[in-house]
Amino acid sequence: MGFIQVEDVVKRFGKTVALRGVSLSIEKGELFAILGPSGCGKTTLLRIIAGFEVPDSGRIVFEGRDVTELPPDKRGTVMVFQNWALWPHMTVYENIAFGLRLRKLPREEIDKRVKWALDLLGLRGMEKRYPGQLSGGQQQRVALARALVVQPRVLLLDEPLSNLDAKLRLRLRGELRKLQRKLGITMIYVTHDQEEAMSLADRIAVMRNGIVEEVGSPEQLYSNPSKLFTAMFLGRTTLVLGKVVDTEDRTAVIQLGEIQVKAINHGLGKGDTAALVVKAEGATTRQPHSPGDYTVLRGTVSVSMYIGSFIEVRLAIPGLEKDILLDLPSDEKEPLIGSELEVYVPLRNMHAYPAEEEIVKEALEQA
Amino acid sequence: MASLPLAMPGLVVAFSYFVFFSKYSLYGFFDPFLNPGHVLVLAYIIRKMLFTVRLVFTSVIQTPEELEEATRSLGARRARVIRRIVLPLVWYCVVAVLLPGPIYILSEVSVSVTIGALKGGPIANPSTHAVPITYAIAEIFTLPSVTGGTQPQARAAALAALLMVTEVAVIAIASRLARRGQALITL
Repeated sequence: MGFIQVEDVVKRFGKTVALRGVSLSIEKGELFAILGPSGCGKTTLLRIIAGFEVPDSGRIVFEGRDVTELPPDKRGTVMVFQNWALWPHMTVYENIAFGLRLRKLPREEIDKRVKWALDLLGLRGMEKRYPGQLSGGQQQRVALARALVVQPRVLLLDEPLSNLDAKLRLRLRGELRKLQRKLGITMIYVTHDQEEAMSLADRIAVMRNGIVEEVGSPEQLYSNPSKLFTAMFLGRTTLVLGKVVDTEDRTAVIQLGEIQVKAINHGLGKGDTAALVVKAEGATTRQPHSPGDYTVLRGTVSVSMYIGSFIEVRLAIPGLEKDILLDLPSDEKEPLIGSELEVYVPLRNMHAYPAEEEIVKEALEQA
Repeated sequence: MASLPLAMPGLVVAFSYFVFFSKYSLYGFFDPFLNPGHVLVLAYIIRKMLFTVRLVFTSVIQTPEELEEATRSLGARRARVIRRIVLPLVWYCVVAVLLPGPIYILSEVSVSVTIGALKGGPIANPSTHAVPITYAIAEIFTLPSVTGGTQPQARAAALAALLMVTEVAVIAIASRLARRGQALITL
């Protein structure tokens, strides 16, 4: 049994079902990310773990103890909010010391711990400032310091970096990971940013439409996703439909418009309709050393853009309704729009799944 | 429900209070003949409270929910959340909306004239009857001129100037406090 167990949790808001029987097991000292698109129920799940919402059915268990009905102040969890929720009428020092004062610690101990948190997050010298006098990054660090200083058994983070600019987000992401490793706190991190989840988490739960699609390590989910949605959601991908013409050991041969390609097979049989997910990276126009690990896509270039670190190409395959997005290395020659092109795509970046109608429809609508 | 008194004309409230208290509190604390001041205070509260309630309510609901949740998350119970977070945040707004209360009351005529004039009455004993300042200004203004000393018109003008200064001061303080309150809440 995990340190935190989420057992078959269902939550409705009126007629909307936010969570449809979610179960998770989170280990002690783990940084666990809940990743999914907007409206998938990830924040609702976090709020249920925090005690701000009560599930309609199901249980939340901390170290074997059912806490489903316990109010947030009795759970030993602390939450860091998306907008940081600093109290504007209190100074940085007072914000950080608040939780310690609630615990009625001696004044010297409070001072010692607040200074520890200030040092830890590089906030020394800002003790007397009010939140309104701080930058976004500083406010975010105060919110973290306020949460960490009480040494919670679980730290819950609801997209805490999403309101920051890209550069700062990247820096604080690294700091957060370092802190988690250093302090060994169990963290549950909610985000819609796949890069953030991949770089931070020990394990990720991918959510869609109120259910957990898949749980696994970032490497596992990215390189070998067992579900169509996970494959499509992680990375720069294109989803197209094809027909399975043959199956081999772990691969399937798929008729894609007028061409045939190979892909890793996730439970398809001959004659099935395949939802093929093609990851953009790793493609090349150069003949690879081990052609067996690649499949070839042939088509006409409809878009070609030099991005800097790569060349973005969209390939129109005859008979296929949708162009395939591919990233070529920037040292290759930028293909001309309208030219015929042969691209080698690593087999590990081609995954074929049974075509789940709902997901395929969503993906095609978004395209 | 707090808005219901607004639907009642002042005169209706005044006569209702008069009938009710003269029947159930005769010679008592709320006797409208003996203690019209007590009934007046009650009438003012009921008549004008809704403005205050509405404005305080608006301030409270403007406080971001996350501020309260962050406090609860750190281990505070609901009562402490209200005392340490909600009240300090809305305090300026509460004071700001309470301050204009006396201004409303100064301009409250119908209730004051009806209930306030019961004790003594403007003719029988003008020194004891209770009327709003605006009514008093009008009464003093229409008094006949005197030989020597301050003219009643001048006294009325002085009273009017005093009223205006008080009102302007209260409005200025209230606006300033309301701005500070809003600045805190919307941070």
